Amino acid sequence: MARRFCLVMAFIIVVGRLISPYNPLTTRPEMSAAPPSTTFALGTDALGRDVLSRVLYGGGTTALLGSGAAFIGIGFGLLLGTLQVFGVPVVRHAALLIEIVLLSLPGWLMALVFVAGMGASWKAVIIGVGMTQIAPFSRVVAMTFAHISTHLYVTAAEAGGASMGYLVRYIILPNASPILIAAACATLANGLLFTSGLTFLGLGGAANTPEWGAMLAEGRLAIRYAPWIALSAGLPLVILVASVNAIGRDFSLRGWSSSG
Amino acid sequence: MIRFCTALLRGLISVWLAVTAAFFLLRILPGDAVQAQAAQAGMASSAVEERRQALGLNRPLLEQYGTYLGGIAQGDLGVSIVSSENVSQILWSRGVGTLRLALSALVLSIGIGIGLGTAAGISHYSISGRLWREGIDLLIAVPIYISGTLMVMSGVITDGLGAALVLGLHSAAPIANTLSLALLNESGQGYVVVASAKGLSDWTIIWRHRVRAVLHTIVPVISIQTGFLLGGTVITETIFSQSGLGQSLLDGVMRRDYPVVQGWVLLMAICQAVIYGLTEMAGYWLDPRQRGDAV
Repeated sequence: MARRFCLVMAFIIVVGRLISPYNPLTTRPEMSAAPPSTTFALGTDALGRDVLSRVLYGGGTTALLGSGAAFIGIGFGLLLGTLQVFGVPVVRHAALLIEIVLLSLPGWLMALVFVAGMGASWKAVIIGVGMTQIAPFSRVVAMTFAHISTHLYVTAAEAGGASMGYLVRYIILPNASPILIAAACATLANGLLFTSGLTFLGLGGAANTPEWGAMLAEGRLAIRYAPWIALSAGLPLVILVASVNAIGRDFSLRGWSSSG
Repeated sequence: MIRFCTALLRGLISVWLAVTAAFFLLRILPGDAVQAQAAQAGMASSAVEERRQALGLNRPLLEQYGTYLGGIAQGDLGVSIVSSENVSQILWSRGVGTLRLALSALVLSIGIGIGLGTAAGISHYSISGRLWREGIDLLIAVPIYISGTLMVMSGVITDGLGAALVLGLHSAAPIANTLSLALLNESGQGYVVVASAKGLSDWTIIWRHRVRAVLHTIVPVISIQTGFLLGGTVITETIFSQSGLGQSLLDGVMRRDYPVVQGWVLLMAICQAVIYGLTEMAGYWLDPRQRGDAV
């Protein structure tokens, strides 16, 4: 079920802008906050822009922000976690120290500092949120790798003369993949929620561009008389995050059953 | 006693790390508070320099850091660059509400999380278990700015309890998730079979044996969620239109008001260290294996 939802959401995100009925930026002062009708399937917002078109366009932006942040978190987290387990002692301790420092900084502070330093923009949001996701992911990587390398087949491969690169790539990584994929899904879900949280606060820059978090903030102000604006942006976001999480849990269950 | 001292030492080190990391992270930002103000007010460049000199912003970085640490050691957190108010004053007046909110949300999330996780974990392969799991998934996926907005819209509870419920429900989900997975993993264990063979009631088996045996697994989750609850007030305060610590962080970073932001980091780090110590004690209490003497 989660997979099916995820496919639908992926479809909306990828081809959304091709099938959107109107230009999402066209304002219609005479049609302000019109309820859903045959012309505007999801109604219009306070400026008379078509909500359906904005939802279809906005999905791509939301997904780009969330997955960009997750990409940073997963990439650097994988590197940091691997170095903690398989690096030479100096590198190992340095990697652990970096992780501890990253963990000690509150996530909101880190994200806000990047937004303040680089100016409110997509790039700042992606980098800021990405930085907060590195340490949690590298923790999972380090713990999983450390656990797997206690197994006899790793010792056997080492005794067989496997190089460190071969060991990580062909022995450790395949066995760790269910857990890592589960953690990656969690990172993606966190990234989506955190980035759209920042755009909800108006820190994503470019106020006009459709994006689900920013649309929610606009809809929040009009929620008493035009609830369709906030709901149209909020529901797809919730469904997207829920299905990413559910897929992650499927993988983590697989990881549990194969290791235990 | 030794354990207490190590915990205290580790707490101090983590607070120092957080404060230091925040201090230097903030200095990486281009511009400072005076320049940010001057750009708005159109101050003359000589006046800007004078003010920076008075605040010590043009001294070497390490010297500023030393002065700051010395101040903390004497309980002096400095004054806000923007409002000239005492930072400890700001944190105190705004922090009480935020900490109360975070603590009540924490209590709610532990209660709801244990209830939900148990319900989902003991009935894993049935329809009701599936429904509970979907419920947990939904709770994880609904961001607090959506649940909060809906709560404000419905107008049921808009005061502190509503905010605590919004935060608490969100934090309950990971706790429930961890507990239900742990329950599932232990479901076929011998002690469960023995307990039911003894003829104990389902209620006793579930609460006294199964949940009790895996309760320690949620301890680390709770300590992670505490960080989220303390920081997550940035969003809830916007939704419920309260002015608390989250708001002062947001303003502080945007206006480069370093002393306020550093004070916030210090307070958060101390709270986090205290909660970490408490959850660790809870872990020792809940899981005899961690005490070392029972093995």
